[in-house]
This record gives sequence, C-alpha cells and structure tokens, in this order.
Amino acid sequence: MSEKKIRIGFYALTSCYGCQLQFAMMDEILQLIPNAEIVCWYMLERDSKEVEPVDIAFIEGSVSTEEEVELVKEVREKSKIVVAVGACATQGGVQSWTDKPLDELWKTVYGDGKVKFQPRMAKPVEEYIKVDYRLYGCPPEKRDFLYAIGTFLVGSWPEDIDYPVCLECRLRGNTCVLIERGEPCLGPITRAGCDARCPAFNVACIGCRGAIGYDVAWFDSLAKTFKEKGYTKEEIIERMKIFNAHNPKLEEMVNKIFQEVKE
Amino acid sequence: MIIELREFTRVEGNGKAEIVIEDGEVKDVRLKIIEGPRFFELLTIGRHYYDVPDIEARICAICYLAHSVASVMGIERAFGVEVPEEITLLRELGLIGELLESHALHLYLLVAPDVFGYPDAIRMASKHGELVKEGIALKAFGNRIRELIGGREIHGINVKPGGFGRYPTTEELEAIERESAAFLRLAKRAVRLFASLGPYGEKAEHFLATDNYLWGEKLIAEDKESFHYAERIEERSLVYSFAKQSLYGGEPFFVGSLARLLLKGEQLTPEAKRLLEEHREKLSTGYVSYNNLAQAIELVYALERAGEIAKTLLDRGISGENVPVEPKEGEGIGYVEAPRGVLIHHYRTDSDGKIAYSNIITPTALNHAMIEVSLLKEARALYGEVDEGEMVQRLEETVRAFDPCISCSVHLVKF
Amino acid sequence: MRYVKLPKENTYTFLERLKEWGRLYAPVKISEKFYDFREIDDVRKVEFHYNRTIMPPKKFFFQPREKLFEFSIKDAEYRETLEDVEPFVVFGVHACDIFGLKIMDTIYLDELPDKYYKVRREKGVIIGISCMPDEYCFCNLRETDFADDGFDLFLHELPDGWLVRVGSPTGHRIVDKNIKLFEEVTTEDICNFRDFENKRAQAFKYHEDWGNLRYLLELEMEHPMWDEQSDICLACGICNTTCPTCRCYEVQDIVNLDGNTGYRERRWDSCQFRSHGLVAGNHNFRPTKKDRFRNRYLCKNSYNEKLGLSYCVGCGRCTYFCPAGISFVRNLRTIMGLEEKSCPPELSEEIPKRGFAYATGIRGEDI
Repeated sequence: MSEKKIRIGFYALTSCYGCQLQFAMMDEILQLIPNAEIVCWYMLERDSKEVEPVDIAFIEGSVSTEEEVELVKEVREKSKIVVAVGACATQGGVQSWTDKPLDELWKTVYGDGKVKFQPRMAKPVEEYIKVDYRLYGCPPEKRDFLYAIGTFLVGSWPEDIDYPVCLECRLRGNTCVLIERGEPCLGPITRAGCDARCPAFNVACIGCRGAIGYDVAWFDSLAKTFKEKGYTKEEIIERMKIFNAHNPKLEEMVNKIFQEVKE
Repeated sequence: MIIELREFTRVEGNGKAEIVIEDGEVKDVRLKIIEGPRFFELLTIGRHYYDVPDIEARICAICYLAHSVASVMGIERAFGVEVPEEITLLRELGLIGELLESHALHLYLLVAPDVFGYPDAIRMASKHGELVKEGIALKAFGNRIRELIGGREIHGINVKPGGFGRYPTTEELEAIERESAAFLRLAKRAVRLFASLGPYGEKAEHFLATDNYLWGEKLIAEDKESFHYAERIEERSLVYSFAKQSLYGGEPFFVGSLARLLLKGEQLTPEAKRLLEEHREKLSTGYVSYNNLAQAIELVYALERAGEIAKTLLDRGISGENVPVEPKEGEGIGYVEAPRGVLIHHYRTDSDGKIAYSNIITPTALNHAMIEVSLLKEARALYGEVDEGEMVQRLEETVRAFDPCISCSVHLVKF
Repeated sequence: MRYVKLPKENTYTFLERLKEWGRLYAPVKISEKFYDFREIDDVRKVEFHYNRTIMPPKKFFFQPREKLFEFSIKDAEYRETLEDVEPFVVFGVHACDIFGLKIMDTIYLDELPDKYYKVRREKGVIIGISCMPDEYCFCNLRETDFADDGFDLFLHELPDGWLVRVGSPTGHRIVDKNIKLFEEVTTEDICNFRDFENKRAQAFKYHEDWGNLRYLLELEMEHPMWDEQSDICLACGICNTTCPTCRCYEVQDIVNLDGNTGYRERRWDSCQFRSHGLVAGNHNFRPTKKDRFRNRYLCKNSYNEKLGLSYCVGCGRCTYFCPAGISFVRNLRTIMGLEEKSCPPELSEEIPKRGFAYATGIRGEDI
C-alpha cells in the first residue's frame, strides 16, 4: 500500500445514473478523498478529461450504442482494474431485450424516423471487455462500494456473494412474504448483499441484484413454488427476466417445470 | 461550419450541443442527446401491473419516485381505483422529499460552482466548505424522506398501486417534522445566494404545470384552463437526437420550478409565498436562468410543506390500510411534477391487468425545444464577442439552468 | 423441585416485574401468521399461545451478525469487541427450544468456550412456557417435549393460571422477590396439570420410535427420495437459519476506506450454500445440491454424546418455513419405511466400511 494516491475514474454508459449518484451520496466519500484522486467524473467535474489512465475504473450502464463499445474498449486499455457497477453494466439491466430484434423495436418507437446514431441491443459490459470485478444491484448498496474499495486499497480481492437474499431476510428477522402471502418474491434466486431491504418493507423482492452465479440460482424450484401459488408460466418468466434477461439457463429451467404437466 | 461542443459537464446524462455557423453568423443550435435509447414504453407492454411502477422507476435515479408515483397513479386511474387522502398525502410527502434532494443536488453541487467561479464542487469546497456541507445535509434529508416513503434512496419499491408495502411510524413522521423546521434557515439563505444570478437564455412565453402543486388530474397552462396533454402538445422526432421535441401550439414552452411558481403561486406555503412576491418581478420576466432562483424558493416550500404534511398525518393518526386493487380494462394518465417539471405516464390496461399501451413524456423532453431556443439566443449574443472557452461555459450554464435529466428524456414511443 | 402457582390475574403484573431483571423479550405476532421474540414495552402484546417463532431463541446468544474484533493493519494489532452485556429475560420459550439451547451449550460452552456466546448466556434468564403441538411438531419423537433443566422458571398452563416449576437459583430469587404474586399449589391444580399433559401427549401427530433413524439414514444414502426432494429444494438456507440448533457460521473481514482499519464479522451460515463445503484449492466437499441437502439430514440426526439426543429437537420450523414445501418429517419417515415403501436401488459408496473418515472412494470428486 503506497502513499501514492489511487486514481479513480467513473464512466457512465446508457443508464439512469443511479450508481454514480449512490457513489456520490456516500458520506464516506470524504474519507476517500485523501487517499484517492478522482480523475474523470462528468457529473461533478467540469474539467473531466476523456479516458485517462486510472487504477480503478467504475463503469455503469449497459452498452447500447456504437460509441459506447468504443468507450469501454478504451477504458479497458487505460485502466488497471475495471469494475462493472450496477445491474445495467453487469447484466444488461431492465432495458435488456432478447426476444425482439432491434429493427422491430426501433420501428415501434421511432416509426420511419431515422436517427444518426447507431443503437444496439443493451448488453452487459463484459460482452465487450474483460471485467475484473462486479458490483451488483440496482443500485448497488453503499456497503458494496465501501467493501470493494476498502479491499482494493489493501491490495486484496473482494469476496463474491453466492448466497440468496433469504439468508439476509432471516438474519434480519423479516417475515416471509412468499410463504405468508404467496407473493412472487425472487429472494431465493437473487444474490444477497442488500440486507433484505425490500422484504423489510413488506414488499416481494424484485431481484435487482441479479440471479446468483455459480449455477446455484434454482429457477426451476422457484418456478414450481410460484406455480403452486397460481402464477402462469408467462408471468413467472416475465418477472424473473426483469433483471436477468441475458441469463441462458432461465427459460430452459422454467419451461422444464411446465412441460412435466403435459405428461 | 459546425462547432461541436464537448459533452456537457455537471448535468445529469450524456448530451452535447452543436452550433451551426453560416456566413459568419450563428444560424442554428442543436441539442444532441447521445444517451442510448432504453425503450421503456415497450418494456412494460404485456407486463402485469404489479411490476410496472418498479420498472418505470429505473428511468431515472434522481427522480425515481416521480416516475413510480406517476406510474401508480396512471394504473390506478386505469382501474378506477380511488385512494384515501392519507395515501395521497404520503405520496406527496415522498415527492417533496425528492424535490428537496434533487434541487439541493442541482443548486449546491452543480450550479453553485458557477456562481463562485469554480470548475467543480470539490474544489469549491476548499473555500466554501460550509455551503457544500449544507447542500449535502439538505440532500441527505430529502433522501431520508425518499427512503421512508419509497423504500430506498434510489429505486425503492414501497410505492404500489393501492398504497404502500410499509407505512411510516409516528416516530419517523415526528423526526421529519422536527428536521424540516431546522433546515428552513438554510433554504432561505440559498434563496439569497441564487437571487444574485443574472438573466440569460431565452424568455419563455408558455408555461405548463399540473393542476395541484406536485401532482394533478390534468395540466394547466398560463390561461389556467385544464386539459389533457394530447389536446395541446405535439411531439416530433429529430434526426440528430434520440429524444423527441414537444411544442405547445407550435411553440416551445417551459416546465419546471419557474412554471410551477408562476402558475400555482397561490398554492404555496406562507414563507415561500412571501419569497415569491419578493422576487416576482424578476421571475415574471420568464428568463430561463431564473429557474435556479425558483428552485431555491421551492426548497423553502418543500421544507414547510413536509412539516405540514407530517403534522396533518400525526394529528389524524396513520391507519396503514391499503386499498384492494382489482385489475380491469381501462385507460389512465398519471400527471406528476417531477423536480424538473411535468411528468406524464399514460397507460391502457387489459382485463387481466396487463399493460396494453404506455406513453411516457418526461420534463426534459418537454423542455427540449426551449433549451435549443435558449442556446441559440446565447450563441448569437456571444459568438465573435468572447473566446470559445467562455462561450462554451455560458452555454453550459444555460443548459444547467433547466436542470436537465437527460437519461429520462430518452425512451419514447410514437403517439 | 419447587412448585408454585401464578394465578391468571397476576400474569401481566409478573411480566412487568420481570422487567426489573433485565430487558424483557417475549413472543409477539409480527405479521398475520408469524411470531418472533421481540423486546417488550407493552406486556399486553405478549403471545402465550404460539406455535413457533421465525427466529429461534439461539439468536440472543449466538447472534445472527456479530463483530468479533477490530484490527489495524499498520499497527498489526486487533482488539476484541466483547460488549458489556446487560442482563435480559427471554420469556415464553418452549421445551423444544430449551433443549435447543442445551445443545448449543454443548458446542459453544465446551472445554474451550466461545467468549461471545458465554458472556451472553450468563446474562440471560430463560422462562419456559408449555404448549400444545400442531401438526408440524414432533418433539415427542425426539424426546425433547419435556424440559427437565435449562430454564430458570417454567410455566405450565392451567385453566386459572400457571403451575410454575423453579429450575435454578435465579428462578428462586425471582419467585421470592415477588412472592406476593404467587400462591400455593392445590390438588385441583395438580389434576389440571396432569390433564393438560395427557391431552398434549395425545395431540402429537405421530407416535412411533425413531431410535434407529440415524443409522437408516446412513444406510439409505441412495434412496430415490433424496433426488426427488433435493430437486425441488431452493437452497435458500431458511431451514438452517430458523433451526434452533444449527450452529455453523461464516466469517468476513471488512476493511475501512482508510485502507488500514477494519473489523471481522461473523454471521450465521447455511450448509445449503455452495461455498460452505468449499475449501482453499477449490475442492468442494459437497459439490451438488443433492449432497448439501442430504448432509443436513445426516447432520441434524447425528448423535450428540453429551446429551444422548439428536441435534434435531422436533420444533417443526424447517418444514413450516420452507418456501418449497419440503417436509422434514415426511422425508425422514420415508427413509424409515413409514410412508410409501421403497427399497433403495443400490448401496451407497459412502457407507463406511471401516469408519467414515477412512472409507475409500471418498474424495468428493467435484462435478
């Protein structure tokens, strides 16, 4: 750990800017200022330069235009560590569509109108560059940022979370809206780290931190549980796909549950 | 020739301006929204209404609650669900919290550096640290209200059709009452500070707002007649931008704090009303740069109103009962005043409660034409008179006065 | 043992007096169907008839999240954060949960006691309460339906009050200090108590002998039930986090933004999570969901030598709170051949021939 300041850059692609806002709103950011130099951040700095060499680059937002593809590639070249922040950068976000082709969507929105810029289907950042670490959530919690940066500062690697929100609900003493009211809570397949915030408000989890990786997100078991509560296949897939549109296993696993009925 | 300016800094979103010069004169200015499209209106088609407000919240982080509430109101109106005053007051409280948070961020961190001549708030903090701390404290208070009503500081899912997942407790409302009174002094100081900004940009001729202060059944313009948006606003696509432009009677118009104060001044709370009268002459000129002053006055209004709402709810007691929601076929429009201006969420639902059609119009899309007209006026006045660096700065300040939320403005569906 | 009677009309007064011994925690309704131990301000909110709490009473002693120590990297030192625990009273603990705490004691208060657990266990006053089983209870099969010790007072319900058994010196002190609230036990009380206990014994759903369960579980490791049930399992970990005897924990170091100080936190862990069996070098002892699922059954039903009991106390929480609807009892009875009959298709390689740790073929080759 040297005395040299760590250089941080914050880049935004197509997003709602929530991840930057979350980062900017942390009181602890003042603690970071002595140790770090924020090199590129348009939202706050007027003198922000375009892509500069940095130690840690945070990227939020999905890649949705040609310009953004170029930008992420440049960021990767000039940064030591690239951290994809938020549901959009890690999984494509709510704007990810995989079932309709882009031309069809375009026509419905803009009619025959042409726009000069080239849009693309929203994709997570890792489809174009290698990502070193990911902060999940829509937006990620403050403690996600704090934990990641703190661990980078000591030259270590942050641990990944491979367990569901259900654990945090239990640790917190929430009730279970899935059992009690049959609401379609996606907690069992969603990555923890938010301290079960929404179930503490009596609202079913919408899965904004994305499905757990490492093949332990059991979409089929959850679909079976939802099916018993009376949800249809389309409703289940639509809800699970809000934040998991690019997950290759999702549809296959849910379809499996509904196929067995026919036999 | 075309001068392409660098990307705007200290605004929310990715945008740039292009100045078209012909024969040594500024002919046109184009506002290019280069933020990628996210097709929100299409994301919700065919979806069950339960998930829709949570998805719409993701259009924007600074004003997510406005989207959430507008969406919920649109859906409730489509189903013909009426909610009791307690729920409406709590939603208004959430919108107030958002107003506080958004205006505090904009004024203290994005505009104040211009007032003092610094490139950013971090460097401004070295000399004016107190001011920055005040701004952050105000913003944090607004966020606490948002967390309480919305469920999280950004993108909470507590606001649902029919009510809330969790209602605030008496202790929490008492804390809001206390803190809003404590912050009032800071807000009044902000008004004095931003009253010093001069006039620039274009003068707006037309203003639009919702009929109640922060939400409405319909829209009103300067003539105070109420109407539905489709009756008087037309949208058209532009080649150079993902956002569409809206016109009122063929002309640009303004939505935002200035519009609210001028059109709905009589609905303000006492201290805010007094400040409005004090500065009415300036504000009535319609220069868009006075939007900053208008925002500062709204800070005062927001703090007073938050205290009022908390007191009303505490006196009546919170029943905490949601209204049952039965999905049915229908059409409904939710009109809400986001911090930046009028926000419209228009839905058509089918009998299963799934969305059949949706149209969302955001304040920055509504202001698009006005921004261009203002930039044109400033570019014409400054081109050739000052060097490019200073011109760029002034153009950015003009854009900042609108407090644009560029990521909101890109999403759209044809009418 | 010392027996006194607490008349019904004195119950709330007694609860108020308990507050003098420390913070009072008791079961309250936290939503339409669920209960939990919460701090009590208004004693009228206490629930005397509840089936089970969503968090087991172990949460008072083995906390869901606990800061173990703070450290400073530059100074290369750490400081334990053992808080000064104030005395507290946990009212309304069922017999099964009292046994649960006894089992936790055999783990955390053995020859090398856990400091954090010990400091709380010494300050907690346990007041037990009797209960009627519902269809998920099976403490009778686990021999944990009647608490002999592990409590300071135990209240048995009578039609006109409570028959109180005093189980510790603290219990005596509580009774003596409030002696005016209590009365002598009468013959009618004894009759009522006996009726209640008999009615209770009949009310359990199953009456059978589970003595050989743990051995059958080992022998039947290839039973088709494991595949069927682990398939529907969500691996959410709720069964572990609501269990009164689950005791595994995970530890994490968090560094502050100054890059120097930080703290170590421990939290409840679940063996249903993938990383529970994962060790350095990337070997996973329980790589599949089925392995993890089966492991919990074997662990819960293994033998606790100090108490001569299983680690499962028959509270029914894992079934009641399972979102996937998996029934612990039904699965165990399937293994014991008390549900539909089915013989295992083959013998498991894992059945030890010379003792579990030495069995050949147990390398846990991962998928």
